[in-house]
Amino acid sequence: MNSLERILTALSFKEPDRVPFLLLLTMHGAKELGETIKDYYSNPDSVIEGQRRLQEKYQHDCYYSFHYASAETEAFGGDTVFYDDSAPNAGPPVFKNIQEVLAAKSPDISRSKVLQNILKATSGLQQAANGERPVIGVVMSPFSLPVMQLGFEGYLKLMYEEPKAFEHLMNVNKEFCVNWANAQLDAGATAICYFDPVSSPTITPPENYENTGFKIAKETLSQINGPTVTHFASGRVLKVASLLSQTGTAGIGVGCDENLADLKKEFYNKITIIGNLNGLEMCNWDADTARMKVKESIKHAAKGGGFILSDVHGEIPYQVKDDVLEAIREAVFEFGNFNS
Amino acid sequence: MHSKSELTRGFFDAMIKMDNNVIFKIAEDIINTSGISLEEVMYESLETLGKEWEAGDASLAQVYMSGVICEKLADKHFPKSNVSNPEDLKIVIAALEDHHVLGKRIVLSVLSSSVIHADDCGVLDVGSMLEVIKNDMPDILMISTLMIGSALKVQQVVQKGKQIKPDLKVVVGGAPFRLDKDLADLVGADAVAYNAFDGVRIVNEYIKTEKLV
Repeated sequence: MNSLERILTALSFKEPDRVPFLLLLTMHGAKELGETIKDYYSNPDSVIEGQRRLQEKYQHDCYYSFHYASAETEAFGGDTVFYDDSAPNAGPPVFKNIQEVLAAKSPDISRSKVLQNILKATSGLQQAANGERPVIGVVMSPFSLPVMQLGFEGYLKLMYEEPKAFEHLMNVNKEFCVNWANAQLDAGATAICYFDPVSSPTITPPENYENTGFKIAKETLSQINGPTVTHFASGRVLKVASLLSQTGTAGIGVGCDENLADLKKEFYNKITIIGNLNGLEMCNWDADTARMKVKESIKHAAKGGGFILSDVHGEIPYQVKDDVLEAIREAVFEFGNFNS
Repeated sequence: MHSKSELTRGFFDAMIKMDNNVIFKIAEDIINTSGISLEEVMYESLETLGKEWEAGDASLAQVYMSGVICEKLADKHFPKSNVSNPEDLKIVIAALEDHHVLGKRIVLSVLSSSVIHADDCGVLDVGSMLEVIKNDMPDILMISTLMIGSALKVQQVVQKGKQIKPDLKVVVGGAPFRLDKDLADLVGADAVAYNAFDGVRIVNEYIKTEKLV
């Protein structure tokens, strides 16, 4: 079975040859190539080579074309702050006041250098994958992108106190999100990971989800011309489980604040669960801990398919050591083999 | 006339529903009821909310909106002149290298609602945080982070900050510390606040004992 067949089998709630695992590695590619994180992301060839080397080294089941979240806000005119040893972060909010929000328009993807670089990397990864493994692209959900567009506080104020501006921004972001997702699919992405942490009950009261994040996800995902999985970046999901199943997403990234066995039971035959290795703790794991954690996750969630092993945040921190990643691979191959 | 527990329950329920009109109405009832302190009701309600947030039964939006409304009530009903820390305790709060953190704002609201003052230094990098320590000589430095990279940089602030002011106490908070319970020890923080109310509890404990727990 190749990686794509393995994942498709798990997504159809059947057991493949072994548990599929997605090491959502990004900055480690720069480390492999001996480049700074900023230089690495400015060159699509570096990203292609970095992803290729990482997959070869750890044998995980995907290429991941995600660069950094604020690539999208750069398209809206925002800045990104780069560091030597951690993920690039969004600079100050793009929109400073309600008037600027009301004047916002969906940016032209073809005029954004960073988005064009991501598309070039996606295309190169699709060629490298040769149909054997998925290339996973990423979009920020229209409902979650404003955390970077306005700052968290500014966004919550907008959401609860400025309904017209909120509605306008959601329409702008929906248009952008659909265009950006479809551009990645056209460039060769196999599936799109829809990052939507604000929809998680960790951030939004579950009773508000139906009229906000759910409605937006349903409208947006239906216009994306390919399969999607939804990621909540460590947030909780159980309290909105029944609605999540109606968004049209094929999988969800789950966190470690909820019991993995409970999540599997709740979502089995509805949505595949993806998780739940704690990426932050992973920075301080040794190989034995990694082995134990992988074994535990597989024990609780792998039976019957519908489970893909991954981290909880959708990006493995730069600080996670190579021997830990190697131990994860070894443990998946040892404990995740359905034929043994 | 309502009892204190009924008013507190009503106040808390309105906070969870983010219903500001009801919150203000109950606050007025409390102010007009002898023997019941609005400050105590807010404190207890925010404490319960902190616990519910920890248990996954309240959302960050509810925590934030509740903090803001309690801050507004504190501004209205507690004169600013009453907001002074005992024995000139100096508290400074800042976000480390992140423009999008919400935690600092919530902690400030909850501190203010509890009649504790902290100087808000906004968003700082390690160097400017050390400058603040040098210039302001705070007793307690509260640091909010969102990303693992900035959380790890707290270690530099702790090490170099304590060279400047050896009895400086550093309290950390934010998602990296909530998701990795060993991280606060790793970076050498004196205490970690898992929610905004924890921050108040830690400061109050320090006021009583001069120790952070």
